[in-house]
Amino acid sequence: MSEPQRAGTSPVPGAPDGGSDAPPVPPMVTVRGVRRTYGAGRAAVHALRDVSLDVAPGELVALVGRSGSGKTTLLNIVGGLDRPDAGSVTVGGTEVTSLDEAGQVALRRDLVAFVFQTFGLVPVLSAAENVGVPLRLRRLAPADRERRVGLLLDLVGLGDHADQRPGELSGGQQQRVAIARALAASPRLLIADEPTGQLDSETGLAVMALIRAVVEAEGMTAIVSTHDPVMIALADRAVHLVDGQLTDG
Amino acid sequence: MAEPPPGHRRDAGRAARGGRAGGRPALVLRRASTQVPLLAAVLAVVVAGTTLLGTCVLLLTTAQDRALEQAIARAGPAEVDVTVGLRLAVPDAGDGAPDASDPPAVDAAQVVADATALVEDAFAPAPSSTSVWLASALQYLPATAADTLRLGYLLDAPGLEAAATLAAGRWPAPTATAADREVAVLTSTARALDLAPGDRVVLSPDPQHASEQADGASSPGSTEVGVVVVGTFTRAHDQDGAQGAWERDPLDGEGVDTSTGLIPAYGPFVVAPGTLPATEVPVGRVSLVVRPDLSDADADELVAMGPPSGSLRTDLTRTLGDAVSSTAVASPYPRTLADARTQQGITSSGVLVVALLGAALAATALGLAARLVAVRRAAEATLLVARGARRGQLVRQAAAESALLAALAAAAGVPLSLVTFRAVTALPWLAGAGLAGPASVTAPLVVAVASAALLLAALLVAPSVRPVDAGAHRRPRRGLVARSGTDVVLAAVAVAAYVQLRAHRVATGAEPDPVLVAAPLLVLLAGAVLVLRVLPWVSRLAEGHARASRGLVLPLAAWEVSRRPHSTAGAFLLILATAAATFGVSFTSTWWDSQADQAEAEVGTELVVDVTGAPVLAQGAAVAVATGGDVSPVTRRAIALGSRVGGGTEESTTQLLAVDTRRADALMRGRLPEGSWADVSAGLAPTTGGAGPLVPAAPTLDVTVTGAADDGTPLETVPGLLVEDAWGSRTLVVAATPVPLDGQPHTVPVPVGAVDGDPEVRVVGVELPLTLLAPQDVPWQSDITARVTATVDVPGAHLDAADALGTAGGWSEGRSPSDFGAVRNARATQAGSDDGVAVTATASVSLTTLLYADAAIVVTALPAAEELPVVVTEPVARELGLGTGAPLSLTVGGTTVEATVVGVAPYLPSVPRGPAVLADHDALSRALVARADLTSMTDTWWVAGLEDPAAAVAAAGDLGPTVTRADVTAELRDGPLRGALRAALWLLVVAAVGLALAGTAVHTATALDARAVEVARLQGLGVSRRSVVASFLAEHSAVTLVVVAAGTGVGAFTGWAVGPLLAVSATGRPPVPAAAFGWPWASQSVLVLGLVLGCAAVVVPVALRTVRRATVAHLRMDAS
Repeated sequence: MSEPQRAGTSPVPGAPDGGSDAPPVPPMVTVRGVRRTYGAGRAAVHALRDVSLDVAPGELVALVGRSGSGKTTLLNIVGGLDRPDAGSVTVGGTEVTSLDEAGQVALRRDLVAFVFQTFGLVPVLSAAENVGVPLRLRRLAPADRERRVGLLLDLVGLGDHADQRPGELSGGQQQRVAIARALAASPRLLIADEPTGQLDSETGLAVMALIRAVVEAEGMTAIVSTHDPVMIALADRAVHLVDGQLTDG
Repeated sequence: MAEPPPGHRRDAGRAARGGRAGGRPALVLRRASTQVPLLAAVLAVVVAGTTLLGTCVLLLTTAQDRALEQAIARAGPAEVDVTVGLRLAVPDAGDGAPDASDPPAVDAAQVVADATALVEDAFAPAPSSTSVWLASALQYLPATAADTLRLGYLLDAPGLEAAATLAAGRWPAPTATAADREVAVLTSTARALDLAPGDRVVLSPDPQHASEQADGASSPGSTEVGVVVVGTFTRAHDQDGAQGAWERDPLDGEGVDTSTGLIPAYGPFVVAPGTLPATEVPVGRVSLVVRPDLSDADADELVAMGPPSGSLRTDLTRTLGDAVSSTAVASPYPRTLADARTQQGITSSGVLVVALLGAALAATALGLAARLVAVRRAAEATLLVARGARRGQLVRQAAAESALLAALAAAAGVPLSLVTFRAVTALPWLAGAGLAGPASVTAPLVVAVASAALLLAALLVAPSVRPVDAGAHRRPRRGLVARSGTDVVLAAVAVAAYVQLRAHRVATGAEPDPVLVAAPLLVLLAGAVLVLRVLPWVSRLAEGHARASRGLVLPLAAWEVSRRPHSTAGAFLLILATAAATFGVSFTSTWWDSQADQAEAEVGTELVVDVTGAPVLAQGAAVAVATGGDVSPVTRRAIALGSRVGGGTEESTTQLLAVDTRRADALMRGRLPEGSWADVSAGLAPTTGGAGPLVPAAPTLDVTVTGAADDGTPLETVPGLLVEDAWGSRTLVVAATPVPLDGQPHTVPVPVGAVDGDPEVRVVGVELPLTLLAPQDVPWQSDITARVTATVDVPGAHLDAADALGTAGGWSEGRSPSDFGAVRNARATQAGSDDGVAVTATASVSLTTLLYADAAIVVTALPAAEELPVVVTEPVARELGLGTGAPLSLTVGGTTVEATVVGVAPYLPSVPRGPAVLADHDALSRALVARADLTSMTDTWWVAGLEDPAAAVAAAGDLGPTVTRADVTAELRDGPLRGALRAALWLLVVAAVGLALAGTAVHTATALDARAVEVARLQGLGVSRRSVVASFLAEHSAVTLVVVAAGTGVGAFTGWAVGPLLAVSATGRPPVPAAAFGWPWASQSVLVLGLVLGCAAVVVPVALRTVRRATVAHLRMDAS
């Protein structure tokens, strides 16, 4: 086991180091000894090597690393989009790695929400319709769904762009729609994979501030991969991933 | 820049590594290797399109040539044989005494040889056989006691036995000496000249001489010729051209010509074949019948041979010079060929419609494929442009690839066309028409396939010229406006084509008719385009409903349907293919049913039998026994309507059809716009039944005639009985010998001609023609009238109940309007006894009038109506301005009948075109009998209610020529010149379905492949795979169902609007009755269900594969 793994075992931010009477708050996300390799033999690519990490509830963690360092792989495994070759991941008390496909679908539907670097919007749907997708998965009544979509679009400042399709929005606007969609089903964990990767710095900062704000407002946990120092500064803490291993940074 | 999907990016990367952008074969090949499935699909569509076109070319060329060859080979003698009549420059007897101005002697053998060579050359290289009839110049027969001149002639007619039936004696044989020449004569000639086998006759060019030699002795050294009658014969029935054969006889086989103003002529005196030239009598007339054997001639030869009558006549006149004084030529072959080529043209029009629709479908499929290929390569193109490639280089690259595809498609298309053609012509109806067999590679085939492959492949270049914006989700307004303008123009052109088609009454000649070809294609295209514009509204409507749903699956499907760009291309293909296929099935049904309708209208009933060679009264029973059907005598002949005589052709001359209208629904065939033939003919039949003595059927009836004039004037009569058989056919049977009206009973045999054992016949009329035995004793200066009474005892006859009770109406007079009033106030009574029934007729007879006019006492037991009720066809009503209640004069034969129009029909059975009049057979007969016209009105026999039509036809074939509705239907449907159309239509259906499924497969695979990123994103949002698949299937099911329904609607509309107008008759004219829209529900259901299930079979695995392949890797990609 390499040394950097210890960085991932850091205590939950804000919690006393010890001596408190309050029972310890279980982490929202627990990653233990996760390994993921693509390919085999000499062509094998070790995307993650024995990664362990805890993320406390309400914490916004910046996952920092260069392209190819394994950030997306780790986020996908945490979000149930991918499976590790070894190790375990627990999200909100749910052992993700042992879930079958239906369980993973339920996890993404009820517990976890994603914000992708490429925004991940369905191009033929309007902004409001994109935001409404998670609500439809929960079969919310149309009136409630419309109300919630309106609130979220207002929250991200796109109330006037509800009927526009992604192709008619700027990159920042699209990402804000993606954030609104991620928030729609009130997830407990927000996973954002380089949400500002395709945005200019000013827009990226605004998006990151938005994420910061909604995480605080909604009381959710967030893991955001980025390599932008400004974005890192907005996080509660940063964990560094280098060649598939967590380091102290 | 947007990041392309993985497949696109991989292709682009590989392409970019190929080196400098543009035009390198290595790059083209390397890129092709990465897109094998897509390019294979594109190639398959091009090959399918070229194969369809190639097969259509073979149907238009090879099959049509074979069809023409088969049609001509099957043509009867009357449609091919050339008949030449030559009158040699030899004076007939009666033309005056020979003098120096008479032409020199004519070498008849040379004339025959020259004429034969000329006609046969016209059909070279086909071999021909020639039949030559030689008739001598007219000669004088021995004069009668009254010194009346009479003419006769010899006839040398090889093969006459086939056109005649020996009645007595034997056929003549060659004799060693001129004095004993043997001849046979027609029974009518024998009767007129009182000849019998063994009698001797002398023919001479000198009237005086002939008179002198009446004793039969010919003087040595004279040019007269003595002949010995060795046999008598009658004309054979009208089979195998027998009727046509007698047209070559100078007297048309009548045996006697006593036309007013001419010297009576009798003949022919038929000599042994080949012996006429050896007689002293010069040949006066030559009749050649040249029968070419066209069974081995190919289509080009058939088209080139057979000059029209006019030019052949000119050639003969020029070649034969002064040897002939007149030339007549009948050459039906050019007309036969023209008719066949017209049918070829019509069939070609249909095949060309299929070819064009197939080409349009293939082009649509290729356009779709080209667009999909372009979308697939958009990233590559962007990369290449970024690396400095110019648009021209990309176009050249695409062109090189297209050329390669075209070459492959052409190479495959030619042999596949040959294989498909062979398979198509092996279909039963085409094989039955003689069209089966392999085809060879022809220049038109190669050119068509290569051109089609090039043109179709060229469509693949178009997107390179005008790049596709794969990320565009909403169309630019300018493009929408341009498309709308194109739609409007296409719709306008389609409407114009439809209007033109409606106004188009006759297809043009031997070439495909442009109106017939263009109209369906334009209407289908316009319909598909317009429906395509409506579909978005439908999808938006569905989207509106889906939006209110709680779930995601259906709304997502609705959103995808209504908003996904480029889905219209796939929809257009499916609409057009469905429309083409359903139109093909519908038009096949329309055409198919129309042929049956036309056959019904043309034949008029199930089976028509023209019984010949048998007495009329034996015919009904014979037909009934042979066929086992419902038999009815029918009158079918040309008549004059008032002063309207007509133009000589069947369609310009008014045709009279008289049938037993009491059985109209059973007998008469032919679809009517509304109602039945019973409705049309209601009121035509007499309300009163028949009357008259019933007699057991027998060949001969011995009747006893007792009569006299009250003033003792010696008269004689040849008694005739108007006899009606059990089927309503009436005929006048006349005693063989005259009977004197001298107050004494005279028994005379009457050849009834019925067969023992047949049902009883009824005597419904008596005719007693009167002849003065001593006309010199009747003063012509004053009108001497006598009361003539005659009783005809019919032994074995009995009266039926109505007659016996005296309720049948009694006997009445048949008054001839043409006897100059010779017979007036005829009356008759009947009296039954154990021995039979006696009919006593009495009338006032002007003996003076009898001096110069033929007259007869005619009485009938048939009650006659005042006027004959008739139904006229619309052409008659239109031309003469007739309506219900209008009076009308029909001249039937020489008798004029007053009629009243009781209805107007669009056409009549067996008279589909032209003016025609329908009457009841019984009523017509009564009307004529009332005018003393006892001519048999039985021209033909109609048979219905056949249990086994084939057996009935086979049995009736022995009685005479037959025409069956089934045979005519089969010929119209599956004849050599017709079958290719149906084959092409089925080919269209198969091709449309195939291209629709192929297009759907390519479109779906590409479209869903491009949505892999979207699938991954949806899964990332928590949408299960099952939901994604369900959404896909809902989306495609909805699209397929709506589009197939829309295509079916377009096909149905086109079939309804255009189909009946395309189903022209074999002669290119609108069919009679008008074609009715056919929509075979079972076939259409199978077709539509097959399309839907086929599309599902294509979409389901593609959707499953797409969802399965969507991975997390796609989450980092740009959806565009």
